[in-house]
Amino acid sequence: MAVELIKERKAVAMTGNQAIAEAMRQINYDVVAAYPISPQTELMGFFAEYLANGLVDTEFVTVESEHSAMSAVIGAAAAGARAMTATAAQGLLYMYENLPIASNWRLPITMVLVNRALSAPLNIHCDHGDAMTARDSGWIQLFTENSQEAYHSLIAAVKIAEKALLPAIVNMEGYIVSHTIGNVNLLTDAEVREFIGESDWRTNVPHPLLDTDNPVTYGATALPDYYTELKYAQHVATFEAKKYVKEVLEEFNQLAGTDYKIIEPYKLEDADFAIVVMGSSAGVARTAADQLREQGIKAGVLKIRLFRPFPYEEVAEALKHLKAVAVLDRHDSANGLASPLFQDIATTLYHLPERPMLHDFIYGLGGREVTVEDMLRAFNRLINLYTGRETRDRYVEYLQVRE
Amino acid sequence: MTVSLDKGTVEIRWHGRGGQGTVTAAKMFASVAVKRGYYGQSIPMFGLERSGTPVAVYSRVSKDPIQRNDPVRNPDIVVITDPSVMVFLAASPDGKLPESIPDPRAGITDETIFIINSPMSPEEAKKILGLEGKPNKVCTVDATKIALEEIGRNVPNTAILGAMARILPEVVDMETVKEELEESFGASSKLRALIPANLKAMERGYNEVKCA
Repeated sequence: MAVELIKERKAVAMTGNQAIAEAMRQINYDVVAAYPISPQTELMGFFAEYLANGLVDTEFVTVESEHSAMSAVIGAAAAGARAMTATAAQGLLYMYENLPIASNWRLPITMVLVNRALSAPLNIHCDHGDAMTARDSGWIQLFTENSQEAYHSLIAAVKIAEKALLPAIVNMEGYIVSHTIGNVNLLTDAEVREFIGESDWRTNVPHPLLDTDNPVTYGATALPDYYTELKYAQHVATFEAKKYVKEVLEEFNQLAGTDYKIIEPYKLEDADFAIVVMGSSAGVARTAADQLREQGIKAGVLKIRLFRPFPYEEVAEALKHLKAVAVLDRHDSANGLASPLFQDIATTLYHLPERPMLHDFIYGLGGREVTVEDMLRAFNRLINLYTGRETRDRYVEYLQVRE
Repeated sequence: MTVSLDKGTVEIRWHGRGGQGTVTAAKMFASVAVKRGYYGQSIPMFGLERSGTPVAVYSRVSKDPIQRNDPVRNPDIVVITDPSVMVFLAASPDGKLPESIPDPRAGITDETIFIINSPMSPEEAKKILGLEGKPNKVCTVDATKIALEEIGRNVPNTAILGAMARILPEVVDMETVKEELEESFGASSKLRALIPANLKAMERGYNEVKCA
């Protein structure tokens, strides 16, 4: 039995990696499989310490690659185990061929993605390039702003994944969150365990492989006669997942006294101009919006917490009355059009009879520091484009490049 | 003269070298802030901590949740844990530092307070920093010497924290640092044995810091 360590709630100072390891200890996963990659290595190191000290019951599979890590948690989850992995950047790409298998098999795996820029060039620092490659993998994706939110989100994600019967990624930005120390209010071990419920291989998934009385096949072929139907079932489940995310966040708010929503609007009600952003830069954007408001410019911020499934109805409602919106993408899709978040926002707003002007900024690549000045520059460029004082050749621009 | 959290968020920039415990000191600082009931944040220079390379670490402390996580540009307090910064500056013909060393004077205001690990007098340090005649308060403490004498190793963190207790008493105090040391060193008997020496180093840092 896992040891009960934290019996009273307490405020501590933790890095994101420490906070995630703490959540993993409290969740007491049945199976964790992982291969080290910066900046995730430290996280698994903290967890391995808990394991070595006998604080968890977890079977920790130290696989020889990320491809095997994902294979191992898929096998474990199909058997009925509560399973988890964590990775970053190329590690995610190496597991990629298994991601759509986990989602189509409806396996409630959780993964912490410690966001890191993709090679080449080699870089260990943060951007969202890794997460964006998984945007069409059928996994639920949550983005987090700080170590507190990362800690809370992983606990919530376990329940979200098991209710929606879909795997879920919790994104935590490499170094900026994973290695920055900040306040974390820890729930008690009992609270976390009661919230997620005891892991039971018979009920974690509807048809566990271990149930030998009711044998099932995972990984069967579906030829043209059934492939479409099985994809459609997943399609419906993905749309329905948003409801479960909302439900679980609401339950979590009741427990923890937080106010998590799938999107987080900041001063948008009366705003003319806004930045849409995900992850740790949201606070910097809010600071810039406050500074502009002191000058009489009605600025606001929309933070996207739930990225997949994309909360298009809520986003449209939050942005529809604005004059212009700058979408901040921490990734360059290099597709000759624009980056993923911009495309999602544009699709979301397209059906509205009147919609804000949109502009896409690529920022924060490979750990480039994101400052209030950067955010002010994005707002100013947006306002100048809107008022016609400046013009543009395309929808997407680099915010911070030295030319 | 002290810095108060009544002004809002207090921002600190630490200048050290990888392996000298600057990141640890900044983490201890954030942890102490949280223990005192505030919001604390410490940001190592986004990752690379190679032994011997100059590092800048940023900290914030506030009564309210901290929104920003960008580098501290206009610090209220500059802590120089690496004594070679002052040596480089003193030897520099043009008052500039080599490009590889972050300049502790970058972005300072007249109110910025310096806490420097150095055997120099505060007057001398102020002159070398080019702040003569400026209202800035410059404090020096020979934290390396204190650490060597008390702990027997070059870990100037606790002596520096002692000096910080003078400047930011709302956040840093002996009792909370003791609590923090007991928590972080508690698991190992070898480390636990170092707690009294560290507290003595902190006390000496508090008593021996001089400001001009």
